[in-house]
Amino acid sequence: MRNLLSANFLRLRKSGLFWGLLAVMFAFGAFFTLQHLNHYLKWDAKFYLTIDLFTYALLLGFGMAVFIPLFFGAEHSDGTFRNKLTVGHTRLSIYLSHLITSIAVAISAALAYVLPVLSVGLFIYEPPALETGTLLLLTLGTLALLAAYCALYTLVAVNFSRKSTAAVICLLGMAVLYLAAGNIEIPLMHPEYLSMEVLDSGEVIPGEPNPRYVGGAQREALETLYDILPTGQSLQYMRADAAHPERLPLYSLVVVLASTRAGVLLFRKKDLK
Amino acid sequence: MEYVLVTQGLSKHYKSFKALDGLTMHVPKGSVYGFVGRNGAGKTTLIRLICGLQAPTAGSYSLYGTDFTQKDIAKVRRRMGAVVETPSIYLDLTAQDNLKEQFRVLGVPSDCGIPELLKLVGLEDTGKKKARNFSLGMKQRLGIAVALAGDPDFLVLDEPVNGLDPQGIIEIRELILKLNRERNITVLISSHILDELSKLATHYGFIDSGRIVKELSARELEAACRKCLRVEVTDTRALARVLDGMGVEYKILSDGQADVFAQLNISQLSKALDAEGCELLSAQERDESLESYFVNLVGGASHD
Amino acid sequence: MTKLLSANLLRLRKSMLFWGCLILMLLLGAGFTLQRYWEQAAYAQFGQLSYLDEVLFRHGLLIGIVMAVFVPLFFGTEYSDGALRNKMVVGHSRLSIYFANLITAVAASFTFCAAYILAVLALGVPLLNGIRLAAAQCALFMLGTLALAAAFSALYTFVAMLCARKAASAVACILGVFLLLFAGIYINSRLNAPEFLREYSIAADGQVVEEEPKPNPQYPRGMEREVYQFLYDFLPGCQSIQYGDMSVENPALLAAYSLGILVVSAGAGAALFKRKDLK
Repeated sequence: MRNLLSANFLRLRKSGLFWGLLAVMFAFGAFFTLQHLNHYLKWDAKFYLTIDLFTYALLLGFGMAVFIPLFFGAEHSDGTFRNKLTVGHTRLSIYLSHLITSIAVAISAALAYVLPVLSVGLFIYEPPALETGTLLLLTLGTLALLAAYCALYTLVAVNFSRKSTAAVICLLGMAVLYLAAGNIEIPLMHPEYLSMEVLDSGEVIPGEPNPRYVGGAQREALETLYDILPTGQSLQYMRADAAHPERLPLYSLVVVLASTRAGVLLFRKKDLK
Repeated sequence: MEYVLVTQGLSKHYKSFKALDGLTMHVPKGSVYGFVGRNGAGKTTLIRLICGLQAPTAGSYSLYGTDFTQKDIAKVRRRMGAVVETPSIYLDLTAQDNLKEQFRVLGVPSDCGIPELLKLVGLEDTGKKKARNFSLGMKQRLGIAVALAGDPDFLVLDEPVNGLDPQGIIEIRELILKLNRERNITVLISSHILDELSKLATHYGFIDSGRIVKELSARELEAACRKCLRVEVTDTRALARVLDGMGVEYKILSDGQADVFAQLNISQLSKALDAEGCELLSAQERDESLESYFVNLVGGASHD
Repeated sequence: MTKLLSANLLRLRKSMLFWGCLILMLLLGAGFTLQRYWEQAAYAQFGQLSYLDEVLFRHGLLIGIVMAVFVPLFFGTEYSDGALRNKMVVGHSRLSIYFANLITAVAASFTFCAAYILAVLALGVPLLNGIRLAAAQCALFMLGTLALAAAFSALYTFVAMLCARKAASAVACILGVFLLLFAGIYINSRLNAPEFLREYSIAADGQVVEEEPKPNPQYPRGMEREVYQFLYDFLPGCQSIQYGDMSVENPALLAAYSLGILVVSAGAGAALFKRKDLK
């Protein structure tokens, strides 16, 4: 396993795709920061540090959907899986080495994004309105989320022999999940009442109920789905407003374990050429 | 005899198609085993199975006496190197980086063996050129270098001279012979270029429709390939009468040509033919080639 | 050229990818129509009505994504399987190969749009309310969305024919259309941002006081606004956003931009393809 990892990292160092990903993530971080810096200087606008901090959790959902199929798809298209299998590496260790490598890539890419955000943001942004504990939990959660994305894409990249098909599936899958999360968000955003009246005593009297409000079991189901979906998590982290920050990493972990288990089982049965 | 590879009734079915159908073969240690069969006979399927790329539907095989279901098989595979179908190389890396990569996969601590390996396959001058821009022959040689990276005792080569120029074919042949003789590496080569194979192989396995039709050593093959005399005459009917009278096996090829499977005294034959009013125009001694042996064995037209 | 086209069409008919995309468009057309219908049924008490034209032109939004998958995968095989060589060797010119592929791509995109429209009409005519647009306006919208489909096809053909690696060109096309769509959403939000931000405060006597409106930094002004407006009308992904929510004001202008993109990208693509070294 260690041999496989060191081989993967060697190839990573020589991969234009990897350095390109880091550069793009750095550019995104710098672009967002510069835009806010511009508003800060021009309009004296105020921002909390969390405004851009976790956006990598969404960007890398797309970034890794490109990176993983292209980087590991080469093992199929160039036939190099064979070199590893014929010298006695097991399929399990090959699969896990790919997964670990891709998680390392995702974390490096996240760091490349955070670097410009923090280096400027620490000086001009307001400190985050969150407790340190919550902030740590969110940070940890985004890392678990990155692992979940990596695990899903590794499942596809290892089990589809055609690189282009794998890339299309990962990218489209990400887009579908993103739209799904967006569509779950809309009904959840409707307020329960169309108007509220605040009495002098501080008592709140609800006005007319909102027909578009989703309540009860349906709301719970939607909320849970929103928490489980990696893209739903991405949106929550991006806005740093997760309702259940302690649940999200657990869901991510389940996604990692389930998809890796399924991926390894499929890969074991796969006939390689 | 000690065997590197033994397969027992090995089968691989893809849906209803039987790529391998109860194949049994024995690759002796130290041999160059020529694995002969037409396209689609199951050569590459067998190689994929023994490399662990696919699992057999039925049957078993063992490498160095270790059954493929045993845990130790991974350790045994460490002694193998293979080039299956197309060379397995990263097209975006240089020759040197490809070998570095495989050294990592194998856990070889130092890269100092790389220049020697590149020289061995004649790729020492490729520098920063990526494998994508290599010629077919160069890719093939890099593939062999990658297979040799782990210093294997057993080398599996699937159609290694496919697409090589004559010079390249000679170089690969000499490389294989050198590896076999100097490092005592056992080599399994699949090929349908029989002429080329006959210059290398010490043992043969003939495969057809997923089964081994015949397995024999080069010496046995030589003995089995019958000598024959090709004669040209003016009247083959007369020739037939004469040969029947001598009790000799023969085959009429055309109006004026026949193959005679016996050591004949030419002047006696000529005299006998003369008496029948037939002239002997020419006589040539011929070896039955590996090719015709193979065609006889698997029955030329039955699969076309 | 006709030979190349007929060869392409034959391959199209046998292509799982083509039929897959076609069925997807049918399903999406049916899905959007049913969604509008259910929404109308769910909020019937509030008198909410759904109209056919709300979904009839939404293929303008979808076709960019569908073609981003279809074109690189369908034409990329010509590189990966070496079929391009077979055409060149028997004497077809590069120009005719390029344009045959472009025409095939455009034809495929129109077929996909037709599938979507058919599904919408088949379900929407009985289930939804009629079209509120005038006939001429409808025709312009149709023209605009088809021109947009052709522009997308031309852009993707450009990528697929000039990039020999199928996976790379597929990723480039899909990421490209996402970027364009995100750009569309972003520009839309900038253009629709209010010019001034109103702030309210509650005075000591409990009265709500409106403060001096502050200029909104998100509101583009002057030249900046013009540039945004131009990009919003010009870029194919931004046009998609406009057709998606039916906020198109000048479909003829959009169609003209699309045709411009089609001509320029086809010309540039053919010229570059002529000079490209093939393997």
